Order: sequence, then structure tokens, then C-alpha cells
Amino acid sequence: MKRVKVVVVGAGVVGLSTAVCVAETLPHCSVTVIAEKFSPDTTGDGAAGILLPREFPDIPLERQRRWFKESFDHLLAIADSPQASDAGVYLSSGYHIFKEIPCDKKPFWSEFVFGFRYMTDREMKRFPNHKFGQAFTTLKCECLSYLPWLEKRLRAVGGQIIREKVTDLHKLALNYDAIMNCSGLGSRFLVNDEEVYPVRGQMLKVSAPWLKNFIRDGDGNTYIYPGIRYVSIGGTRQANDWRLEVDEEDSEGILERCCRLEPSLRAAQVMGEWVGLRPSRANPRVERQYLHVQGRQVPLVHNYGHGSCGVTLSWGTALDALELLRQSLFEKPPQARL
Amino acid sequence: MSWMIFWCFSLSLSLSFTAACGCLQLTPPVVLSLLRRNQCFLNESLYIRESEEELAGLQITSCQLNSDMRVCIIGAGVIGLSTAQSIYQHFHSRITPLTIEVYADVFTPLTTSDGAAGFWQPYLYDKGNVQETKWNKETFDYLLSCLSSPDSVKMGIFLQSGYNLCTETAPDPSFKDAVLGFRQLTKRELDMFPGYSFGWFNTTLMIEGKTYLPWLMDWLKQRNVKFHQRKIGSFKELADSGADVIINCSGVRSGDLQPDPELQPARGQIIKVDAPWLKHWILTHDSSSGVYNSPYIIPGSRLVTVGGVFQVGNWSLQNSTVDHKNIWEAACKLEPSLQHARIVDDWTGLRPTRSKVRLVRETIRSGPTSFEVIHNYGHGGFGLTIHRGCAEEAARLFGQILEQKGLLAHSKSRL
Repeated sequence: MKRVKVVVVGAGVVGLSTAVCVAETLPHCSVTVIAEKFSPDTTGDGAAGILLPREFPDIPLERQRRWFKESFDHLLAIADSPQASDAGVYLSSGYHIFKEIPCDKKPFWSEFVFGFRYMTDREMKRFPNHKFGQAFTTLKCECLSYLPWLEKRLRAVGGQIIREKVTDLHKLALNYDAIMNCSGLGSRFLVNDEEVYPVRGQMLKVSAPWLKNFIRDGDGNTYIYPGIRYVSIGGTRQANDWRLEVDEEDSEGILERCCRLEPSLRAAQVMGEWVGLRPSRANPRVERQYLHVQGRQVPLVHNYGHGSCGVTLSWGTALDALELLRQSLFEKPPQARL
Repeated sequence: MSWMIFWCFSLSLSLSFTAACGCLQLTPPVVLSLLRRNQCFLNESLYIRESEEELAGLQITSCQLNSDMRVCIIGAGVIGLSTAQSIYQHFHSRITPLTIEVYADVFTPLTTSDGAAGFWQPYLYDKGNVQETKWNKETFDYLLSCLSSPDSVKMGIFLQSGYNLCTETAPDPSFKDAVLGFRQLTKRELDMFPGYSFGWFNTTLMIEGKTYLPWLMDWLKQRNVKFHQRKIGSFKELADSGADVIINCSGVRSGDLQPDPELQPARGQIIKVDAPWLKHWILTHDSSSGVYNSPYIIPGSRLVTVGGVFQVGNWSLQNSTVDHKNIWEAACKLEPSLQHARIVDDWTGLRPTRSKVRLVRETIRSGPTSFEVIHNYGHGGFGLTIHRGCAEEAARLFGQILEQKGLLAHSKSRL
């Protein structure tokens, strides 16, 4: 059987997850990842990588549950293995606190994390400005380790890497039988999707090795995520803000809010600051279309627009994208090229 | 009771004091108050007399020329240092001068408290020692209140969640109400730990000896507590040198000062590893092996402590390669990611184990005199866990001694 040449655009957490899914599941496919940015320069590399989804308005809940469950189970197996430290995947417990009682006290993902419960009165005492909280154990997946680890896994099954910025999918389609578009925020230009927009996030890396549990404010603007080598504290959510430079006022605001939640942070040393642009969209786009190129129908599977849930949904959406690819290959086998 | 009688001397001192004040009235109430000021012990029988005329029969039974109250604490582990702190806190303003000294042959970072993981958790069941459960909870609440203070990091205090795993269903542990967010483990969680079918999850406090002890020593030094690096051979040695009250916090070696067949070492060995992705403690309980003879993994602020063994009667402070191998294999089975962790160090310590903590007063006769000893030792593998509750209790016992000696300014006047 002729080898099917699949190209994955984008080497962030979604791109590499998708590439590995395809390469490991479809042995008759050769997989090439083409991207401008690789770890440690992808959006995911700066993210804390805590698995914590949000609910998207237009995707059937069953599909969202499947995305999260599959991502969680996949990463849990890694966390529970000798690979955990290489991959940067491990369990993380903590508190999700709310200043006002949320409408949805028990979100759809509560059954997939471990030990989901409401915080006790004694636990809430630490947060006098908050009225309600959820406690659970989830996973943390640090891209700085995870992406190189995925790359190794890709290469182990013959995957290839090309460092190049893709600007024209039609041109790319000349040389491949199928395209997986995992270009994140880049899709805005690559496929002219105006629904994709950046949500700027700034964070600080601090040294506070005594912190073991995460704290996240339900409003999404303040978080403390203890990591392997530093604690990620943040953040900001600035829609349509393309600035990649650090904003001093943002840093001050982050420090002030986080120290209020966790006073011991006052003793922590700031190691660095980082800005990332979440590839946001009302809903992630995981769907397939076809490019018409020189009389061929080239399947183009989209897998982008995960916003703040890139790591959280990476494996589940990669599996979905794989399925879309598999269906298209089954329905329309690629024509032999002359 | 026979007391040294210095009443003449004391009385003349009082008179000269009075003369210095220009007050020559020597009415009975004045005499009495002067005597009290010079910390004289009054014969008990005096207390029953109501009539001032009967002061003629005043018998001063004992007096201290030197009004110094000298407390000597033996041991500079967490028990000794925290006892010094509690005594200072409760009495430094009520007794002047109050001299507190700590004598020990080892100080931080070489004490038993320093090597321990610094994990707050009592043994699963208190076997009826409700007093100990109370002291444990008191310690937890105290440390929790310190968590919000600016000193929390300098004290080595922080929260950490984790897993207590059992090989079979077990009744709720003694500490379930003391810790935060206590709950049973779900089946999915237990699936992560093959071989364990039951367990609990909760958030507790860490209190790292290597940080807490230096913090305590600084705290005490700032308040003029003196430290002496010296091995004490006997209580009498300190008493003869002028100690009024001796507090015995000598841990596993208390037997050297006073034989105690109930006190035994329970040797523990640990491995310190660099595994910063671990954010939960895991303790296993196997009723057939006994407490702490089962693997445990406790991440600290810098390194992870991996154990454990609990060898009663073993005095060896040498690291054993056999123990190391067994501990490491069991821990890696429990937590597969440990296989790639960098091993940094091994350490051995002797838990001062006893059927229950010895926290009592004892009056020891030495010839014609006697002196007071407060024992505060035998905290096994839960010294850090129980330290504050015991220190407060020791301070209470100390207060009893002061009251009986009539030294407390606020004590009810019995005249």
C-alpha cells in the first residue's frame, strides 16, 4: 500500500500531539511536522499546563467530555509511569475559589478529575474574600518537558521535523496527501479565520518550592500553579491584545493579587516574566474540509482555537483529528501522483 | 519537708531595704510583703492563720538570696527548643528575672528533628492516649495559625496534600478532624496504587526541622536564652550548678539520665532524593509490617524524603545498604517516576519511642535538698507533630511549680 504523506502544521502541544497520534496509530502514514516555532518558543511552553477545561457554547457536551477524559487518561498513564519526570507530567491538587457562588458549582469535568468536592469551611478561612471553592486533584503537563518528549516519540516512529513557516496551504498540499492544521493563533492568517483572536496572558515565574497546591480564582485572572522548577503565577486575560512584551503594571497587579491569596509568596523571588497569546475562539475548530489542488482532493483537518485549554484538550482533540483523517483516507483514498 | 532557714538574714535585708525607703514602720503586713518580694517561702501553716497578731510565730522556712529563677532544658531538638519557647512566652513577664538555658550535645542540623521529613501526622490510632490526640491537634492548629504570618517560610511551615494507603479497610484515623479536607480515596485514585485497596486523602502541614529549629533558636537567642554545647551526665549535675527547674527533653537518650525501660529507639532510615515533580506525600500502612515499616514518600521544600523502616531496639546510627535497597525498591514500586530521581543522601535517626509520651513532673531528692524535673520525652515518630501541645503542657507544669513556690505575681494570695 502506498505510503500516505501527512503533514502537520504547527509544533505546539496540539500539533505534536496530533502528529504523534497519527504516526503511532496509522503505520502506513508518514508524518512530517512543519512549524516556525518549536519548544521552548511555543505558546504552551509558557503556560502552566494545568488540566482544567472550560465549557464551550457550541460543541456538544458529550464531545467536550470525551476530549477532556481522553486527554486526562492519556496524561495520567504517563504520570503513573517511569516517564513522568521526562515528560513533565504529574498530579497536582489544589483549590478553585470563587468570590461569588457560581451558577455551575459542579462542572462537566468534575467527574474526570480526582476527588472533586466543595471546600470545607476551615479551608475557606484562608480566603476571606471568597465565598465558595472546589477542591480536586488534576494533572499538570509542562510543555517545556512534554513537547521535547513528544518529539522524541514522533521520531521513534519515523516522524520528520521541518523548521519553516507555512503561509500557503495550497502550496503545501502539492507535496502531501493530507494536512493537519494545528497552527493555533496562526490560523487567523493561514486559513483566514477571523474568529480566532489572541487573549493575551502575562505570568511570572517565581521561586517558592514550599508551595505544593495550586490556587485558581474562578474569575480566571489570578492563579498560582506550583511547577517542577518554579511556581507560575498570573495572570491577565486581554482580548485582542497582540503585545508580546512584558507589561510592568500587569506584573505588579499579578504580584499583588497572588500575594493576597498566598501571603508566603512575599518571600518568593521572581525568576522571570512571560507573555503568551492564547489562540482563542468561541469554540475550538476540530473539523475537516478538502483543498482542491491540481485535481486532487486533499483532506485538511483543522485542530486549532483551543484558547486556554490547549494542554487540557490536546490529546482528546488530537484523537478526534486523527479520526477525521482516518475517515477521509478511507472515504477518499489519495490519487496516485504521476 | 526541711528547708534551709535564712530568715534572719532575709529579715535584716528587708529592714535595710525599708530603711533605704525611709519607711520604718514594721507592721506585719509590711514584713510579709517584704518577705514576699524577696521570694521567701512561708511555712504552710502560716497560710491558715488569719490573725495578724500570730505573725509573732512567723516561721520563714526558706529563702533565696538570689531571686533568679533558673530553668535548664536538656536537649535542643524540637521538644527542647519549643518547650523553652512556651516557658518564655508564658512566664517571662511574670517572673523576673527568668533565666532559661538550653544544654545539649547536638544542635541543629544534627538532631533527630532535623533528619525527619517534617510531616505533621500522628500514628493512625492513639490507642486511648486521648491526651496525645489533644496535643497533636493543638500543634496543628498552632502551626496553621502561623501559616498566614510573614514568618511562615522562615519557620519552614507549608501545606501539602497526599495519600494514606491501606492494604485493607480501616477505621477513621485519630487525626481526621485535625487535618484539612479529610476524605476517603475514590476507586479511581486507588487504581493508581496497586496493592492498596483503601485509604484517605487530606491536606496537612509540613514543618521542616532543618528550618524550624534554626528559627526557634534565633527566636530564643533574641530573648536572651543561652545555649550550652555540653553533654549533661545527670540531673544532679545541673541542680548542683544552680538549676531551679530542669526540663528533660533528651529524647532517645533520656535513659542515660534516668533509666526508663519503656523508652526504646525505633531506628529509621531515609533516602533524600531530588524529584521536584512530586507534589503529594504518600504514606502506606500495612498492618502486618507495622507503622513506618512500610514505604513512604514525602516531598519537602527542596528534596523528597523516602522511607521507611521502624526497627525497635536498634541503636545503630549507620546507614544500612540493605535498608537502602529495600526502601528504594518499595518506593519505586509505589511511585514509578522515582526511578529517574537523583539520590542525594541517606540518613539514619532514632525515634524516641515509648508506650506513651512521658510528660510529668518529678521531684528528685538529692541529700537534704530536692529539685524539680519536668520530663518531656518519648515522642516516637511524632515529635514535630505533637511538639507545641507538649511544650504548652510542660509550661503549665512549670507554672504549677512556680505557684507552689509562691513565685507567681498573679497567684492568688492565700493570706
